[in-house]
Amino acid sequence: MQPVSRGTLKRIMQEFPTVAWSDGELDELVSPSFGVITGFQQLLNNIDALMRIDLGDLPMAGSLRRGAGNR
Amino acid sequence: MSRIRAASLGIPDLARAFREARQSPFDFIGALLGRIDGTADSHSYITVARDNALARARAASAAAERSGTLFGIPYACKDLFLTRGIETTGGSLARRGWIPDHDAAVIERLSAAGAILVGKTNMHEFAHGITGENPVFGTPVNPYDPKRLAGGSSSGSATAVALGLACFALGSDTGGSTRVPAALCGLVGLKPTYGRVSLFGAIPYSWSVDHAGILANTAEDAAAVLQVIAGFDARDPASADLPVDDYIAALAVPSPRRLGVLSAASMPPLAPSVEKAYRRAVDGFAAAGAEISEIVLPDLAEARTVALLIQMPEALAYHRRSLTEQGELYGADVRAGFAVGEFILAEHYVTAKRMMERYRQQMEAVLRRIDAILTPTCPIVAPRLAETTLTLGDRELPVGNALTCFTSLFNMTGNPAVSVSCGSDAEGLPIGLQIVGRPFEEGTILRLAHDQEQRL
Repeated sequence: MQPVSRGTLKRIMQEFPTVAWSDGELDELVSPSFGVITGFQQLLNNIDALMRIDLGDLPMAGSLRRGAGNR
Repeated sequence: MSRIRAASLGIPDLARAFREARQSPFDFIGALLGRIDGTADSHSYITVARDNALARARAASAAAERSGTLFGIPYACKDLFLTRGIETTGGSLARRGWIPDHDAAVIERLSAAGAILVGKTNMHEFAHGITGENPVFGTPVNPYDPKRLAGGSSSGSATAVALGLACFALGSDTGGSTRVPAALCGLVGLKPTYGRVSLFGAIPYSWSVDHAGILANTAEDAAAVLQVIAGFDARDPASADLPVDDYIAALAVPSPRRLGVLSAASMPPLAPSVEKAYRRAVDGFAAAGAEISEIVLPDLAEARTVALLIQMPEALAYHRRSLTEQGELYGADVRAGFAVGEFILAEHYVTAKRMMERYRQQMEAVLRRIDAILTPTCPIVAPRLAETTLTLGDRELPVGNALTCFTSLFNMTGNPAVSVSCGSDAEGLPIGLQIVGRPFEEGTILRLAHDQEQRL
């Protein structure tokens, strides 16, 4: 994967129905300063690693059962 | 400002004193409102419900029939729980002036049990961040050091209890937002099992992982509150239709003996003071007869990524319309976070929900051979205000990543988890121990938290 750029995010905004994020907000994704995430690029790298995990037939999480893991 | 308790008695005993007319709820709440006025610079409250509190306290003091397990007990709630006739802001200018026409389910239950709402507490805007900072309503600071964070997002709920401005407070917990401020402020912070407490009438952040939370001075107080707010509610699609245990009685049963701790290889780096306090707490359980065994949890850094993939699209989905119509009223950090949700693909979200199921199955397997897990609540003590990154071991981390590294996994697995104090560092800053149990076995972790309190 190539590093994500503000231009890529801006083009997605122009071609998909999205909230009107400002250039500054897109910059915050590309190089963050608020301490919430380490950066969108790092997140994409982490997603790339996740998508390589073989989850087999595992479904999405549903409701919890009482006693799950019980004795 | 300093750490005090609203009452010398615990909640069950104080409610009994009110019921038996040995103390006056009106006098007690009048004095408490005076303390709130005197500590306005703590920024604990967004709205003080003075008229509501005094009217209900007067009625309680004059009542011939005095019933309810929380009769006359003054409490606060995070300003994301809807309150009929009382402004509910979500900690945001975007909801300023909104006065709901109904109460959240938890407020209904607490009122029915005789508890009296004294105010709506400050929070990170829309529960978005773990630091609890709020530029609009002021940032609640740590009662042990005003240059440090109280933690969030339920920051005002934590400081209200820690400064003696409420007997207990409701919070919410999506990645640690009750347990983290509890740990940083030296309180008990309980996140019940997913679905155990109705979230009808709570402003959501991320439906898949949102939980209600309780901030209290003791495990017994938290148990008394949980007893009231736990239970099925058909208005919440995630609500679990299962019997509610007797949580107060659970505090007196023999302690669970099989406890798990993270193996050294899977333990993230800890501040030395946290490691020392955590080891001492584990040793305390062992000395009391517990069998301690090592366990391996899912990769906590990976779990944080999974949590983000679930939270950010869900948060954006809820706020999209409001962002479009009045986006300028949202804080810059909140907008930046929501923007992440915009660029996560649907398949990424689905994969994260499948990972969530994988984590649940892994936790089921772990909890077949032990009764509860002990971890630090946070790897650090309260960070300094405006600190955005910190160094832990040889890694520089965003503060949010560090504070939630032990907590957010259990929002995805849904297991009940409680933070209880296990000591403090050399500067007196509190350190929290997290105890995690099987789904719907809150009594087990409250029992263990009660044990920890007795030893501290």
